[in-house]
Amino acid sequence: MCNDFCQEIRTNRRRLLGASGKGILGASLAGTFLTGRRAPRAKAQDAVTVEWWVQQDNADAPIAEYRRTNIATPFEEANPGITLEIIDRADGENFDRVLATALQSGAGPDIVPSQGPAHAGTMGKAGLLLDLAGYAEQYGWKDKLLPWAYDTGVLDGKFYMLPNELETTIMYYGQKLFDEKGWAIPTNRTDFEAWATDAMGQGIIPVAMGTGDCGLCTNWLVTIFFNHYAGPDAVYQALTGEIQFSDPVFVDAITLLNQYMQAGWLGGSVDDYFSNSFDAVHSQVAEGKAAFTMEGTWFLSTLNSFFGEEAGNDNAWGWAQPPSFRDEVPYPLFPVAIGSTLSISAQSDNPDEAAKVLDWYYSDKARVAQRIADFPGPMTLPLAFAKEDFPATMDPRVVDIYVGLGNATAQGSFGYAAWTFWPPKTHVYLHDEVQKVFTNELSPADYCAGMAELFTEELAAGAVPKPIPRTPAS
Amino acid sequence: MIEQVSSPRALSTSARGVGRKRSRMRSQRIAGWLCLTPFILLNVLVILGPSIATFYYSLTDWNGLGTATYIGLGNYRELMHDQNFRQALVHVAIWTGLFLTVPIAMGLLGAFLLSQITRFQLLFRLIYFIPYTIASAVNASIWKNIFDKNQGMFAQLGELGVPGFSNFAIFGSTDRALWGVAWVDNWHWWGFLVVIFLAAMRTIDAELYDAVKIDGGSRWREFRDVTLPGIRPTLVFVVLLTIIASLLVFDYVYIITQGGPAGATEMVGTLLYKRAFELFEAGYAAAMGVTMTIMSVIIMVLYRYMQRRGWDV
Repeated sequence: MCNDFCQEIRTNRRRLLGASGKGILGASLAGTFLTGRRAPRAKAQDAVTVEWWVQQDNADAPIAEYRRTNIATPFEEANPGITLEIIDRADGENFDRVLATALQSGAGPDIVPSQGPAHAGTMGKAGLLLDLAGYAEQYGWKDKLLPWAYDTGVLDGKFYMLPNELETTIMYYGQKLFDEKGWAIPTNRTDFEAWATDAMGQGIIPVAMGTGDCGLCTNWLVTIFFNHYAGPDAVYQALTGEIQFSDPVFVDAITLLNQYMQAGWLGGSVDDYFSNSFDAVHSQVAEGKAAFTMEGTWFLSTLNSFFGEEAGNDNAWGWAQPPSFRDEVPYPLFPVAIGSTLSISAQSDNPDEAAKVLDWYYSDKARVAQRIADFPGPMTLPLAFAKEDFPATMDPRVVDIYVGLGNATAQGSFGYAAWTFWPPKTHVYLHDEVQKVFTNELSPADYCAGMAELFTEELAAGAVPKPIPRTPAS
Repeated sequence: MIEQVSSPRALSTSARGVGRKRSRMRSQRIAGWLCLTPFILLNVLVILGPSIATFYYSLTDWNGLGTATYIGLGNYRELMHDQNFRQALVHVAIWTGLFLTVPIAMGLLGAFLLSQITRFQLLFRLIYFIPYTIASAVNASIWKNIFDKNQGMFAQLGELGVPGFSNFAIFGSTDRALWGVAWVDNWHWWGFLVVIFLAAMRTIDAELYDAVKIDGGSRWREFRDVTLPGIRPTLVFVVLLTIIASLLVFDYVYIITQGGPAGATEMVGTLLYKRAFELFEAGYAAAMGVTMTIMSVIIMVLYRYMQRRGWDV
């Protein structure tokens, strides 16, 4: 959900200022299609080159170098006839547009990233992506991925994408504040409301939130309240068209969300929620001005900038699942998301070699686990991990999250993230229009009715990604 | 009048002269067209072609990636009932009104005051003009930090106990966000107008000012009776430029608020971008673009009409 651009924002605001300035200057000087940065590596004679675009605004970022040395180089060593060019594209928020334009003109990369199944599905249906079903069978990808993950790449019977970034939304907190106050983690609505009232009374924001850097990130809250109030069963039924999003259970979920928003429990106030930058939100939690923040697992990659030695404080971070806001909803519950996908361009001259790259990327579980340990978040593939799969040096809290997330789908304690399972138009409606609920311009009932209407259209058009079945796949 | 009959030789010489002249003119015309051809081709390629394509796609149901399906005026009919489009048009109207008054007034004042001084004039012109040369992404980021609700200027004033500034949001407030973004855009724009107006003011005959002074006129009278009429064509041009730029406003709004919060700063440009690239409704977005183009054309036609009617614009 959180692409490199927004990771950059959250990491350091000052760095962003410089980076955006450099980015704009670079873009204006070099032109749209010249902004990609290739690693200066020697090419093998007569090697087939596979291009892989990555949205990376700062090509000097550690992760960019890591991709070159820990993905491209070892792949090429293992596959002497193939050169893998991982190209850092500094297109910022225009990345998708530039990518689509390049693909439509017959250019673009062999390996095509996208921001999720809905987006990749749109490209696939437009004939820009290859059906990878043959490669999936050849390499046994279905068995390598978590059982449900393969299906998220299927649209209209074609397998267009490999899920790339497994995510979930959790609550992060600073241990110090909870120790000082003697608070326990609230796990249900009654406890949460009593605790939040107490926290507000003490001048502490219960949950720091903000969309000052990212308007569409309101979809985190809708995801949480749909799943943790309406419940994953209701969401699944709505995603499959059995019930409508105008059902009272969704209206009640949005009503509750708005009540918490108006009470200042989510950010401090409505104005604060619309103003707070990611840095402000994270600092509030780290400094004990706020108790929790609700965010996705991508935050794990920059968490140490706010907590512990690297941040210059002695506050440790902890994590918990959002409370169950209705008795019928299980706790804990992990809304599952695929934050990005990988596909092969229909125009690729070397689809076999590109498929070989993808297979190498997904195949070795130890290698994947090491990547997650090195950069938690952006390279988390949806594979079935056990605790012992991860390196011993890895932060045990991070291990717990990823093992728990993997197990959740097997045990049925999973939900559905909006940025993965909602079709494109309904998804934009979901995060744009809910803001009008917060400003009292739109009622929760009207909001849900509008969503139901759009969703029905997109469901009929075959634009809805296949949701994970409620009965765990064997 | 006595008619003079030219000799056949003279006639022949004259005819040859006319022929040479015509030939030279034809050669010049051809050379002119040859020089223009690359630019015409470039225009056809990057302006006319995409314009025709945009108009065609505005008549289709197209997601921007796949095949376009012809739907006639369906997108335009939908546009007429689109609440978000209407809201965006209202914001554009407010924005236009704002930019037709505040920066132009500031630009006129700044230019007039600068025209009165000679020392440090260049320095001030430079200072005023610098924001215009900075990339919009950088300007926007600077002002996002200055107006940051938690650490920005107003937060500091609030902490110092200045009344009204504690918990004061600009870009996060639905009431203030539009004005906040307009402030940032104006900050970079008005200095440009100062330079434009100052250049126009320099063309005014100094004797006209002297005449006002001899009549005992004030500075205000100088400005009203000499400066304003003297720069009228420039002023009208700036007004025209402002209206068209306001119809197309996009960059500052998109960088700072992306049209939010809750659509409070949504402009036709940002809405068009979202419809095309987030909602994959490129056909519908094209219809929005064509509508805005028609509005711009109407303004241009009015301008030409005024010129033809003899207005000094």
